[in-house]
Amino acid sequence: MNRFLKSQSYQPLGDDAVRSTNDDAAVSRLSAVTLGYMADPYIKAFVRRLQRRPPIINRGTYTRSAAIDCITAQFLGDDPSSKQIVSLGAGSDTRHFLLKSRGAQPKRYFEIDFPEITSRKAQAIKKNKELTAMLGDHSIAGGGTELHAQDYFLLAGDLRQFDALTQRLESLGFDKSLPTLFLSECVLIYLSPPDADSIVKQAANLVSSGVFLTYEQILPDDAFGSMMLQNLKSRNIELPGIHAYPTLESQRERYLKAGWDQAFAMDLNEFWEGKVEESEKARVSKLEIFDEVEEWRLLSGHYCVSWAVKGNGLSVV
Amino acid sequence: MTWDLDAIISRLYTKQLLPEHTVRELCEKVKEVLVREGNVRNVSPPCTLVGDVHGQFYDVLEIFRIGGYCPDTNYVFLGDYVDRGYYSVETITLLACLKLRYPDRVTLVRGNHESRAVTQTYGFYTECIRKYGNANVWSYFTDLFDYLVLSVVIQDSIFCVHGGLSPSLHTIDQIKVIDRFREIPHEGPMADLVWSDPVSAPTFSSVSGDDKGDFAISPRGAGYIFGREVTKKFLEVNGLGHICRAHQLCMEGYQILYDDMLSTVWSAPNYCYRAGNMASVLEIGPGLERYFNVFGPCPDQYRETPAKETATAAAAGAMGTGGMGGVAGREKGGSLAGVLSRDAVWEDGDVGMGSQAAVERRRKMTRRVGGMVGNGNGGEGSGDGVDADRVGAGGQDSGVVGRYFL
Repeated sequence: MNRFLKSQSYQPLGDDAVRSTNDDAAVSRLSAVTLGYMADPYIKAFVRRLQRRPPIINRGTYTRSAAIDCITAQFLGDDPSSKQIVSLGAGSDTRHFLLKSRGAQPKRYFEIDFPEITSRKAQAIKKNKELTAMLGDHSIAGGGTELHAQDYFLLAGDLRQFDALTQRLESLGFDKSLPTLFLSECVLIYLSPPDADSIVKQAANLVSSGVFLTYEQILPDDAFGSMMLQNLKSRNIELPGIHAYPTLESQRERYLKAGWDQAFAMDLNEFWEGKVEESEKARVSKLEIFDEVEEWRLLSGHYCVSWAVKGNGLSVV
Repeated sequence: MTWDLDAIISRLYTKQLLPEHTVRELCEKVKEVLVREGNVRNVSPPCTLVGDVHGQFYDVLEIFRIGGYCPDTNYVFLGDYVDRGYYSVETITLLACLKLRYPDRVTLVRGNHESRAVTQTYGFYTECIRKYGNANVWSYFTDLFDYLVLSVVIQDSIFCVHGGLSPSLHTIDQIKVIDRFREIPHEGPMADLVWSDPVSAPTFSSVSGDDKGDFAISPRGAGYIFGREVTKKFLEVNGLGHICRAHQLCMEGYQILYDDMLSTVWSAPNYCYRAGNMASVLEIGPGLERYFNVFGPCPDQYRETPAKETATAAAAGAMGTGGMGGVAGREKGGSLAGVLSRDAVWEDGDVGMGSQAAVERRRKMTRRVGGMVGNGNGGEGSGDGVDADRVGAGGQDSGVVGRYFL
């Protein structure tokens, strides 16, 4: 991307600003991984330079990852090869490779993101021997913006045209009859509520059984939330979805009204306190001096995982 | 060399940095003052208690604006002068000078952040490296921290400390005999004084159900949490009326617990430029009346960001290291002096690798003509091009980058 000296105050706008959030997340992930919070040998392929985040951010990155991994693992259960995952706005996510390295990958793993993101990801994968080997037989498509393998598909597209994307999925072997996990890790919130709602609804209609899993910000209206929106705004990042689904309750509602059978939601503070095992909490707490307990509660309380279940045979609680 | 403290202090109020050798001398002189002070310093009212300020220099100036300037107001600072904010160096330098200039009107109590280990994680170390090019100033100040007093008693009535109480310390006399002239230990009475917290639901309700309770393990990993009964006993045994401490973020700027036996004063508004909280200072009147003077962050028009200053300073060639490594300053009006290439930026990963590696890396920095520094892609450049005031690892990150989960 060209970054010439356009003006003294150039900063990415619109979609560029949203895309930039992927880099932020990837750097945070590498920081946490490097310090031992979690294992991920693949993320460094997607991050240009290691930067160390503060302990509170490392813990939050760990908790976010643990929460999504937990629900994903429950979804995949003992029989991942009969399931599918569609990762919306996947960015530099390494989940497919992590699952595959354990032999726990689903039958098909689809990742969708803007072509600017997917072309960089495809290049990074191709440059990396280990990742390329894990792909198996594959082809580059879409003028370098896509990667099609046997069980992994990196697709370029715009989530705001989700119906076109579902057609592409089907053309690439997406099987509506297989239980499918749709993953939105800090993605839907950047879309207008109608666009986000449309995706949640189409996903419900598309498959006979599955899970829709979202991780994103909540509680815009308290002091912390308003400051967060203000700070993000200074970087041209808006969260259109946050006012539509600002609470755990409304997060659950969003799925039920879109045709999903059951819905759950939990904030990340709850997840850390209640779902992370004591021994694991102790391990994580020892990784760095951690002197921000109140701030941690405040920050993690403004993020949630919410998920919905449809169909039988899936036990995801 | 003449040592004109008033002139130095005037400069410090404008947020200028002192030369390294001046900092060294300053710390030596302040140590000479502090070494004569006991672990429990007696202070007479009226005075104003200040909680954590964490390098938020402009908000410290705000404190002086609303609370009165030294020496017109007597101040007791309860620690945590550094880390997290962008201006830890300027903040501690100013406070140290004020202590030297008005030793009887300024009291500096040690907080848990006045520690070598903590400052290497939470930003002060990185900031010193960035602003001085080496770790000397950090080591002068961390040596000075070893001399800070542990607590204050105001007119035999109000006990003031940074953190809280200790199961090992039942009396004031026991505090007096601690050897404080050392790094804060991992555990023991000195650690407890700077790390402990009172239980107040819901903060630690998940850890220990009731606020009646005895000392219990702290989620901080150091110090203890303690409850009402412990507080009451300490006050009774020592003939005191109230405990005032800092250490814990309070959204309203202060918190009063246990039917006013204990209060927390928190003096860093919009903490980490993220928490959205109010702050306060506790004004103690001549008759020991207590008033929490609540305030918000310093208005933006009075607040500089490091990015603006970087471009200015670099353009003026003020820093020998050629502009602020690590701060992605924006170019100022056509001058290339303030522009650093992306690759030239401070590597957060250097923290913990020792300052020598960091200094070496900085020596290899090159400037790329016309290059724009990291503009929004947090993973690629020095942070983002907007709030490009990156302070460094562990402590702060530039504006938004690395401050939230995106």
